Amino acid sequence: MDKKITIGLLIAAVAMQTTAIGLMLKQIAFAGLSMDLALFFLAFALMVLTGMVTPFSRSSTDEHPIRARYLILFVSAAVGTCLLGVLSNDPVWVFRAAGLCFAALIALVAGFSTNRLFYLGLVLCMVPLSLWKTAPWVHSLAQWLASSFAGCLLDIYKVFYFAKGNVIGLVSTDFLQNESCSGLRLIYPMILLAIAYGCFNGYRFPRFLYLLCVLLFWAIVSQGAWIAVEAIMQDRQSTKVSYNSGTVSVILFASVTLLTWSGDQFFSAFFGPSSDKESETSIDAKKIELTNDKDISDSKVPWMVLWSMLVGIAFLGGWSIYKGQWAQGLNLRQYEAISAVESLKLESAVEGWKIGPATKSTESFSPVFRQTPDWKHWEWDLTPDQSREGSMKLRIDGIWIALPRPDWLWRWYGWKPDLVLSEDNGSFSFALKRSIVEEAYVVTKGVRVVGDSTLPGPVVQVSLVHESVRPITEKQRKEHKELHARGVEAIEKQLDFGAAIGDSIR
Amino acid sequence: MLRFLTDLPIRIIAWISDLLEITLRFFAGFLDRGNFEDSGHPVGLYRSLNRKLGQFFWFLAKLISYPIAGFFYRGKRRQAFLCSIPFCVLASSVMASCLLVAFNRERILNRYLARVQNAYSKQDGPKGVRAAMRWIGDTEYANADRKFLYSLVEIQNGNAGSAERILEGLSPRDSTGLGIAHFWKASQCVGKLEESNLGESQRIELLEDLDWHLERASGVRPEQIALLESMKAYWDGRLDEAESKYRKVFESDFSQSLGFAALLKRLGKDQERQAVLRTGAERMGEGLRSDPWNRAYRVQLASLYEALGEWGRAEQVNLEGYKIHRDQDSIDAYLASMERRAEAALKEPRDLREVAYCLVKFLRTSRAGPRVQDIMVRSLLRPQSELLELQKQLQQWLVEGLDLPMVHLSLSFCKGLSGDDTSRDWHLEQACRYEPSTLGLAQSLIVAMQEASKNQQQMHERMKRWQVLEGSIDPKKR
Repeated sequence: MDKKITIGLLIAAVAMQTTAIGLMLKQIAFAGLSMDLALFFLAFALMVLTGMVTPFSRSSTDEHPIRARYLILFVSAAVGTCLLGVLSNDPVWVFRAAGLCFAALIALVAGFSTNRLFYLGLVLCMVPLSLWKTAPWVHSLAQWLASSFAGCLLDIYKVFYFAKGNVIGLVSTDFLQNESCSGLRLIYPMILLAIAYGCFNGYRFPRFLYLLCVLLFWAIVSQGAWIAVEAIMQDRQSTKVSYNSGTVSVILFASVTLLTWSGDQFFSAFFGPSSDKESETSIDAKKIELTNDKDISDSKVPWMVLWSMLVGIAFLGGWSIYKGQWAQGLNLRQYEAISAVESLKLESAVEGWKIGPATKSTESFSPVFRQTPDWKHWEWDLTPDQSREGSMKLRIDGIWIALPRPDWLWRWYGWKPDLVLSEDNGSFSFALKRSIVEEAYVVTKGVRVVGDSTLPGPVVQVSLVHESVRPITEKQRKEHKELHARGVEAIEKQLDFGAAIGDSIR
Repeated sequence: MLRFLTDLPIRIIAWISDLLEITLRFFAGFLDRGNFEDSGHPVGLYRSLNRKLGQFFWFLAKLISYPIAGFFYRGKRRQAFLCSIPFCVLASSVMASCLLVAFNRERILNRYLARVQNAYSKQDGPKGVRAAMRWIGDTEYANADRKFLYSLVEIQNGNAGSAERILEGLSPRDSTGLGIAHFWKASQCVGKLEESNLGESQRIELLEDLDWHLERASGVRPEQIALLESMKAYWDGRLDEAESKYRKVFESDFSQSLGFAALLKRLGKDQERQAVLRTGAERMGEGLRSDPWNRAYRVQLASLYEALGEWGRAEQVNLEGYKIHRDQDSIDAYLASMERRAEAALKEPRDLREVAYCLVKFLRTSRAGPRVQDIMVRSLLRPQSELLELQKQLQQWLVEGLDLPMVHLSLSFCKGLSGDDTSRDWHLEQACRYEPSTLGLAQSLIVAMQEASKNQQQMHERMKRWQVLEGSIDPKKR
């Protein structure tokens, strides 16, 4: 009876979040992450199948049904994420809460173990991985490690290089290895594969954590090795050496998978029993231990707590529906938004500055953690008239579904913030420093491609950058901000086609 | 007396075996703590920590012995061991390569430093800057000398601003800094003092700055510091001291003749200035005769002749340089000298003989370039009387046999601007007969002069009616 009530409440909790789920799925469709989505469904289906179909359920003999205390823990995480999503107006968190509830539902219906529930929950939280605001930070750290390892290899191979943050450049060439240093490739399918593998083998959390660490280690090492190989090929070549990045990604994926599996074998060999006989004894001991471990099923209190939390989630969903929080539709296609950005026309001169397309842009790359496959980077040079000093660059990066930290791009290239990030009417301004003579001041803003400004949605990052060898004065900063505001206003006017199309994207 | 030496080897062996035993006992103690057969019993914090430490030692021992022990595993564990070999080998290689680089960090950075020095000596600024980027952010490695080297390659790279910022950082007002950077800063102060629009307070501040940096200046020849001291004395109003200090430097190094001459000019000692310039020119001439490939001597000598107003000699020195080096630098030096000569000639009161000479020379060397157009505008778009005088000078050069086609071309323009169309065409015809390519040059210069004479109506009209057509002049007809 308790189980039935719980299943009913879980269904209600998931059903009440359908508007947020729909919105998220629309965002993913807008972002064009169909490949990621397909991989996710594949991994999820595989995990459910291995849990349900007998030939795959190798560890079913060791497993025992979920206990109420684990369900409480699981659902309380869902309550937390749901609250966070509703309060911060971010459907991603609500989607994750619904995912956790759905995982609990499947686990209860199919009679999965706590271990398998953990994996299902993990996978369902992974769906919009590419939309995570933390992706730039995670990739930045991983790329820095990969570039450092590539540097080690280049030092051993005696190829002269230098590093600008996460990106490597060769002394013999005058450009940076932007393409190979654009973040960890294929990390999403790799992690999905690790989860599926862990679930299939019924690994407990510490073992899975080890597997994940090994996977990340090899992902970083192989990326670093590839950067080093590319740099060695590029050394002393005046033009960029071209190669098939698809093939490279496949090779990296295969080698990371193989080495992670080998690492898993190391764990088995290192911690495993010294002989088969001993192994059998240990399993028997585990079985005895499991049978002795009793559930707390007699008491009603845990179930009441669980149900009240589920009712809370359902109530939050109902409240959102009543308030129309996630009700806005999404009637725009990605290519329409891109063509709107591409058709932007800037004036040729503004108040003593001539604007022209940038002829040479060294610090521009297409990140692997981009949120749309057609992510673009546009750049213009602002050349001063005689009366002014310095030069500026106007750049537009995007399209983002959820804009990362405003200074992500500059941090990627090794700039260190010199002043605290300050916000003024949605525009962020910050001073940066690099090496011993490079100074910069940046004003940046996420400009919505369409519609409602109160909610997160597709934006392009419009930045005005002033690089100098001298600290930028307060007067220059003020002028800089004014110029940026004018540029943003002009761009916003041109991008404001949401009303004509209809509903906004969120 | 040395009999104890006979049993020393045995004693040493005994000591070693004792030491080994103590060590083994010590580690065995640790390993024994990891033996947690009695794990069921409740233990205190100390015992628990002790046990954890023992377990950790066991873990380390297992890890170290894993490559050997693995071969003694059986069944699935052995299979797993064999499958883990790629992981172990590659992971160890990754760790080893990281450690290798970490332990050789300084040696590697020295390699980059050598690369920067090499790039600097080859004047390859961009490469030097890129190589220096590896260590310039490393506060431990990038000391003041290395930062100074970075500033030098930045200058070669065309980033004078960056270099200045570094040098400023190396010559602070509140700490020691680098001697050579202080020298640079002191010379910058002297340069600023030369500016005429300085207020008294600014001047005093600059003098204080100069004093501070000069006291800490080092890393250059003593004569160079003495020069700055002399300039400081001059700006302090100690004129005799300034002269005597500079004279000392001049006597030991004749390449300072120009600077000393400039100081003497400021002090109003023109006769002495001339003497200094002459002495300097003589010494430099001697030096150049013994080493004709020395560019520095050549540049100095030409400048000394220029300062003396002996433009012909200066030109001769530069031409000789071109004949020896045959490169762009020597061409640039020649043209720059000619430009200075033209500027001196165009300064009021004008030396029209020199103006005519420069015009002809520029027509020959720069053809219809902006430099020629500028000189033509400044020398030809003038009052009628001056134009006539210029014609006379050109006629004289014609008699003296200077570059006949270019003199005729110049005369043609003079005649054209003064309205004598018949002579204009005759001179152009003569020029074209000597050198048929002059026609093209004339055509482009006519267009330029038509544009430049817009503000002078009469001359503009005269230029407008001058039409030179291809084939209108027969080069064979004399």
